[in-house]
Amino acid sequence: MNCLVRICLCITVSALTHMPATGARKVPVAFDKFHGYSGTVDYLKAVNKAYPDITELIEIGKSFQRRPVYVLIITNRKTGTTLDREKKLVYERKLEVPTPPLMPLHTGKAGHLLTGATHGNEQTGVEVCLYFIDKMVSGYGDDAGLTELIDTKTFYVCPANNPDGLYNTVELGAPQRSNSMYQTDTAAAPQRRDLNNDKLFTQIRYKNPNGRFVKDSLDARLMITYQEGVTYPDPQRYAVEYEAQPDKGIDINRNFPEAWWNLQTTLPGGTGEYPTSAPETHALCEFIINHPNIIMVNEYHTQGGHVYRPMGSTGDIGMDSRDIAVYDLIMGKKYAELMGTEIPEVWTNPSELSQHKDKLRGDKNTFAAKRGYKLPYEWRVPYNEDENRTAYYGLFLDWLYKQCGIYSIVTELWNPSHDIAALKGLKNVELQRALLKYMDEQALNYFVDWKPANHPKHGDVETGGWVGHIGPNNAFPGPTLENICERQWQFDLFRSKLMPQIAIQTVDVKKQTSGNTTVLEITAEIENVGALPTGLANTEWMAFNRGDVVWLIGENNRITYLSGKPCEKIGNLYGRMQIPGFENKTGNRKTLKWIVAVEAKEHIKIAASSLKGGTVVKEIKY
Amino acid sequence: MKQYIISILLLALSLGASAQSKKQAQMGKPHGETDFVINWKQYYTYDEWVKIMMDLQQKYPSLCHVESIGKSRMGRDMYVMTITAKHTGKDTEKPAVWVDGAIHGNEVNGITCSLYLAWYLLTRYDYDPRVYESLNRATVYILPGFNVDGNDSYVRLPNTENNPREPFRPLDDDKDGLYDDDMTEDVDGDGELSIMYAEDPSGEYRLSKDGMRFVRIETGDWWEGKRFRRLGSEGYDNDGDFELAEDDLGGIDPNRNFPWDFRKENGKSYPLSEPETRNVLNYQLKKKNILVSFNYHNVGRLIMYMMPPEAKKPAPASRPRETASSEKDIYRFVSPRRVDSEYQHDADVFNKTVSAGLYILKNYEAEPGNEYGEHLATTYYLQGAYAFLIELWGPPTPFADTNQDGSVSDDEFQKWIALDLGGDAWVKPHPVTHPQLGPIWIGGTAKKHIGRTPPPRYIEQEADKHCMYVMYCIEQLPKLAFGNYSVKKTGNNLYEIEVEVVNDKLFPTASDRSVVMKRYTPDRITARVSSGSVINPVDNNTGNASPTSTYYRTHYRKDATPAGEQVTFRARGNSTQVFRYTVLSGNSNATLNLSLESANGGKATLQINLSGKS
Repeated sequence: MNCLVRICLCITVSALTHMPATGARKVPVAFDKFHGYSGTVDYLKAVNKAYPDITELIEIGKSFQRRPVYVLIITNRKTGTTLDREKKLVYERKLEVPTPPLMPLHTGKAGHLLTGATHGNEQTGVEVCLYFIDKMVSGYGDDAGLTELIDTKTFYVCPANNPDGLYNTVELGAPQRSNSMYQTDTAAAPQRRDLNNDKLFTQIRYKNPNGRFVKDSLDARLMITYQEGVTYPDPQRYAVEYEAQPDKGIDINRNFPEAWWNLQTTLPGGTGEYPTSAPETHALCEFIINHPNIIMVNEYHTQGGHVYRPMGSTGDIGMDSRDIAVYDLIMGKKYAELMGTEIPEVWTNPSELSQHKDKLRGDKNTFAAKRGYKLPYEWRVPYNEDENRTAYYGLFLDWLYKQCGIYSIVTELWNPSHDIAALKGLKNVELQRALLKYMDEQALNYFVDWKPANHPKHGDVETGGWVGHIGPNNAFPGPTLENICERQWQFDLFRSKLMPQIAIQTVDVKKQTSGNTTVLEITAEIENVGALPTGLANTEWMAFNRGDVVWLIGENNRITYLSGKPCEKIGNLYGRMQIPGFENKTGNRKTLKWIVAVEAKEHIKIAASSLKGGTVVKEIKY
Repeated sequence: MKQYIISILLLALSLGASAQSKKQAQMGKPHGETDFVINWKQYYTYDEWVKIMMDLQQKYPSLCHVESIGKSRMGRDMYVMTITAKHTGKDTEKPAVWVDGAIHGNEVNGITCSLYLAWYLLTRYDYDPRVYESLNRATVYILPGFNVDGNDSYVRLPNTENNPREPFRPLDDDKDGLYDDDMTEDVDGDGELSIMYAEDPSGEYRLSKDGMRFVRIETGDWWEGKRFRRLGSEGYDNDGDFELAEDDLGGIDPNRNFPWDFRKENGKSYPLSEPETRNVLNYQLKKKNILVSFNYHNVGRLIMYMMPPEAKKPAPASRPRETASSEKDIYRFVSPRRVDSEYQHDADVFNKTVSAGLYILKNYEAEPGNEYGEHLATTYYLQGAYAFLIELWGPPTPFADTNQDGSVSDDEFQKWIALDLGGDAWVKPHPVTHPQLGPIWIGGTAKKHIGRTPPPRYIEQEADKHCMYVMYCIEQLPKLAFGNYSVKKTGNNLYEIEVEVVNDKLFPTASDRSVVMKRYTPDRITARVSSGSVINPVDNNTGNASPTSTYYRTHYRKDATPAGEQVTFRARGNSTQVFRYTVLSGNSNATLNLSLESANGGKATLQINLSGKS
């Protein structure tokens, strides 16, 4: 009863004031445990309900097991416009094919997409997404910077790309990286493999003369890799397996259409029967294609504590050097700062790039020589630069950059030796020992002591070890996780503020009237007030990149053009930020001029529209 | 003792087949054409062609069934007809040919060609022994309309010969920020889309003498009469930018939408972004028995074939070459592409199939297929089926080139229309009042079904010869049988038996590409001895064949494959493969029983007496 009354009160208060919530966190969220799929969906729905003016929840497709893939859209739903709202057609189409529906309002602003749990067992990324949502929505109306971002940009958050994998990992405790295709049975399957019915999926170990593991001499709970020629106090060798065998399925992040084929062998390099064969992949591709305003994507994975920037399949080959400069010298530099690590000296002094290129000439990493620097651990490419070898096929990262013109990155969250102060700098066995000790001290139960059990195939075994879905693969919930979320939030915010934004800065009108006809000389200055250009360099030539357009629109089409065209195509505009090492040749402004004759009382406006820099409109007064 | 005896074939397939009920021995008599009458002098809308398919299914339920493989963008069902004699086995248990009609909306003669093939097979089954044999051991999948929304629009509504090509996913063709905002439209309401001209004293065009065409006035030509300016395609300036039809409906070419060598600049979205292409590929991937595929397109009278990848390895000193035929054969085709040895058989099969097509179709030329996202490239590279794209129809050169200069002049074209088409094929220039542009002229172009789709009187001619080409391919699907065999006693209780397995058809049981992809079911022979045992020829320790007798080492056929109780292989086209069995048996009356199973080549059994007597 008490509860009910309080809720009623809340509603009344907010209904009365009509004020945007200022700093109020209407939907509490905590990071002391993983939300999983169900918790995430509940949270998204609650946020959408609590913040209807600045959020929208859409379903972009369904997983193989028919769970919805949700995207939460964060933007002011009352601001912005799209070109088709401004420019009405003279003749409506007469054929049976329906007129395309109005473009969603949120596509009229530059878009930033965050995704999590493309791999179901990498659920740390889900939390980072939810943290981002919480910061954004609760900061609206309170923090001026955030308010402006939400008014002028669109944020798409897809915390669970792989609902089935995430559900099985967190809700059932059975880690599942891929989606659930090719499974003979469904969600119930992993439970049957819980040998000791402890509702936890850990490891099994059993004695095996050829086993690859031995017990650690200092902490016998730990299984370490056996090495030939080393003397162990306890020489007994063990085989170690997962208690729940991972299900077969499609690794979504190898199922995208960029470099899915291995052109060396002409065989598939990626996963699935064909690129986009997984329903989850298909949903993401369709979503990206229908939201061409997206210019930033951060895809959250674990683990490693570093960022991958494109390309996985070709490295820097096939990338434009201007894009590489934006990635490394702007974004990479910021990320390294946030991680508190050293950056290549030349990043702070790009004028010296050519000297550094000379210094690296002859290095076996030819990519570094061409760039003028080696990439730090925290900011790297998936391509194997040292061996000049493709390591990955069919990556989301590559597809987004190469085919969609998006500054895509993958963030590999969680590096215990970085993210836990007590473990700083430790590696390998030392790190694992320290991690176990740390958990003992903190009373964390992510490691289960070994206990005898009976295995249908191997007979007498022991179960125990790392709890599959947390262990070393995901950040420990609580302060550790929260610190990671906060750092990522800072970085995503930084990237958000780089996005292009087109604006009609000045409009100058000279007027001459003679009888019923008025002749106007209209001069308008269009500016990209955002930091980065309205298009990536590598997509300048691509079919989908339409460039920026400026329409002069007469409401009733009663304009006669004496000079200038109704639709002026101005190409992509640079941004306000100087791209390190590159001269800003064309500038971030463009002046347009029309001379038109209009009949009296015609409403005239200018609409400037950029695919990735938003759409704006300005009435012309004369 | 050495003797070869012709084996008695026991084809499992023939066991279940009933006799042909209305076998027609006289070639001049009907072969079922009147059992189900279709008008082959018209094009069909979606509703009409679907009704024909359903009616055929009702009439021939034991030979075909129709199923929807999914819905198009606008919600139309995409119907595939599966044709095979059901009483001889399921469709997927037989090798198959895939035929699809029109992936481009405007290329609807592919629909009539596909429907004709279905009609030919179904009506003739009871009459024609060739069709009867074929459907008893093979399957044909036919998708008459692929881009069903576009196909229906093309036939039913006013259109140019080039539109609508793509499915109707809105796209910003002219990069003005608006989607599908300026399309062609029938301004004068005559049911045809033509070209608009305006009278203009400084125009570059005039009317031809017969008043049928607008012709360009060359600089320096003297002309006193009326002059015209070309405005553009018939339609309105829907978006008010003074351009006409610059952003027509749709824009994602479905035949650049397949995953092999997909390129964003052609495909514009992502592989299989269109429901139509995704439905087709998902269906085809389930039918692993598809060995040959035809995609009908227009225009240009071409057989396009998907060659295996260009050779990566250096050419061997003496590489296997086809022996040149001594006889002159203008239809014999050899692709210039050199391929690696693991793809040589595919190259040979493509060459032979194309040669047969050039002969059957006449006036056709062969060209390598394009890769970048085309359906046939994915059919070959992902599914391993021999893929052909047929560009149907073409300029009326074979009928109208009176001066034999290899092309049809404007006057020759008009004569062709007047004499061969009875005059009804041309939009004569005529004045019209346009709501935006005022008084204008429209016309001077051929009607819709002239340039890219044959005028109605040619529909059946075209469909008939393409039907014969597909029939040839159906007939050449693989068929495995045991051939000659020999039995030799080579030692105490030891017998060496050599058996031929023959595929006398053009196509192998699996393509080289399928073998490279490991995407095929190997052919298999299982051997049992009634009393005794088959000695496994493979040494378990070394993995090498271990000859078991002196005789074996000295007298064996070099091309024989040592076989044990189970041997797997892939039968090439037009091939004879020899298998050797070593049998240990104390009973000279014992028999070696061989059972051959091939997913695409059928089944056969053979019983061999060790005594050598049959």
